[in-house]
Amino acid sequence: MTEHSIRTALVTGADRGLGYEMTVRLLDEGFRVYAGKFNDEYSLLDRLAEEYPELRPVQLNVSVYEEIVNVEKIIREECGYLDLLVSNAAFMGGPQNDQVGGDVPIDFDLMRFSFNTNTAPAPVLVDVFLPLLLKSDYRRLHFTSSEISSVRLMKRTGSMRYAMTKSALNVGVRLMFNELRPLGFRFRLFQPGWMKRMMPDGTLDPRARLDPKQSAEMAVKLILEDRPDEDRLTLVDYLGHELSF
Amino acid sequence: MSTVYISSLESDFGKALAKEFEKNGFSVVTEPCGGLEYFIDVTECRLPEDDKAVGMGIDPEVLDRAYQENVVKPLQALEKAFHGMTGAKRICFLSSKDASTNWSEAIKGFGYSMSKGALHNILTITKNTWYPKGYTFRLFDPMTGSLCPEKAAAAAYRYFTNGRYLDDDDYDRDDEKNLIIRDALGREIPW
Repeated sequence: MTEHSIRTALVTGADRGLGYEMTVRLLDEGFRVYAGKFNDEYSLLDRLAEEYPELRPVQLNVSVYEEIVNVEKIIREECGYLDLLVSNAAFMGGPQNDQVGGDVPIDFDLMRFSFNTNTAPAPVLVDVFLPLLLKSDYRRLHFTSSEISSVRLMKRTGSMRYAMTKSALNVGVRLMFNELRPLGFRFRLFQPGWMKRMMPDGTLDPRARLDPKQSAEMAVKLILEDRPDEDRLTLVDYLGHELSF
Repeated sequence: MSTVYISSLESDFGKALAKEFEKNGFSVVTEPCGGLEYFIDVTECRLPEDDKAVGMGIDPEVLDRAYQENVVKPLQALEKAFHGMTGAKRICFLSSKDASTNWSEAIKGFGYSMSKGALHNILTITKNTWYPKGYTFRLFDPMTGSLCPEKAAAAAYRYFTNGRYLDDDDYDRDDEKNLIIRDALGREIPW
């Protein structure tokens, strides 16, 4: 376990939106950031790399195991450790009208795809990167969740596909917390709010409420700060408020 | 005679639960069909390969299979039976403390726990939609491994077939609109 002069982070789903803005914030905080690229329509990271020498865009579709292993190899060979893992990539697209007993048949293939993109990669990423994370004394793990992961607060009557992936994610994070918290890992489960979609040229779709920058600012603040209650797993939103599960 | 669907009689719990219902005059079927009063899914798929903590080699294909077994197949069966349900129109699934974000002490079994966590959310949304139209829901932890299947089945039968009230003497204070998980000892497990 070593304190390294440059903190190193991996951010998944960094092409746009929250992942992109968290990457910018972490770079501003002096991190070296491996930023997962997935969407060929977006080249914002490549442009950002011209400005920040500590940014390394890497090809990473989190639902493809071989790509996760490949990024681990890159970081292991270039750096040898990882201080922070930001598991942020998610798929929100597709029709949002899925419900049991609904007029439209449930698209079970799309549900499966969503689970395999939004939920399953979180423990897989931590599993693959654990040897590198254990070489750091920083040991921080961020997972982007959602307020619709909260079963207790759930008021929806439809659109279950994305919501169920985030409840499942929370449970997976709990299992990791149980194992890794005693080893000094700090966990952040974050609800980023309803953010404006970032277009390929970096502009924001005016629908939705929040600029991803605002959310990223709080997400990174929460990562950097120590909490007095690190032994509790909490879901915290973009205002710093705790939500129930 | 009221009809109850039990998804499988292969597990000791499924068998014991079928006996409980039959003893009480219900007709038990194992294929989803129209005219059901109770839809009971007893799936608790814990794959042998799912017994790994992070750092031991989490296989994404195992997580996918667990999701297929615990979520997709049960929901496909429910879709077949859903609109033909009658009476209490009661939909019952199994879960456990391992899938509770608040309470789980597990470090292994990501496929099982995460897929059941997904189910909690799906059933809550389904309840929000369909409770006003007469459907009712139960989530039950049979405490497999801690309690014998016969005791768990007897507790499940009581839980599945009785109403849920905030006050047993006041039927106007119906609590069906709140979905909760209850275990075989009657304890509520937080999400």
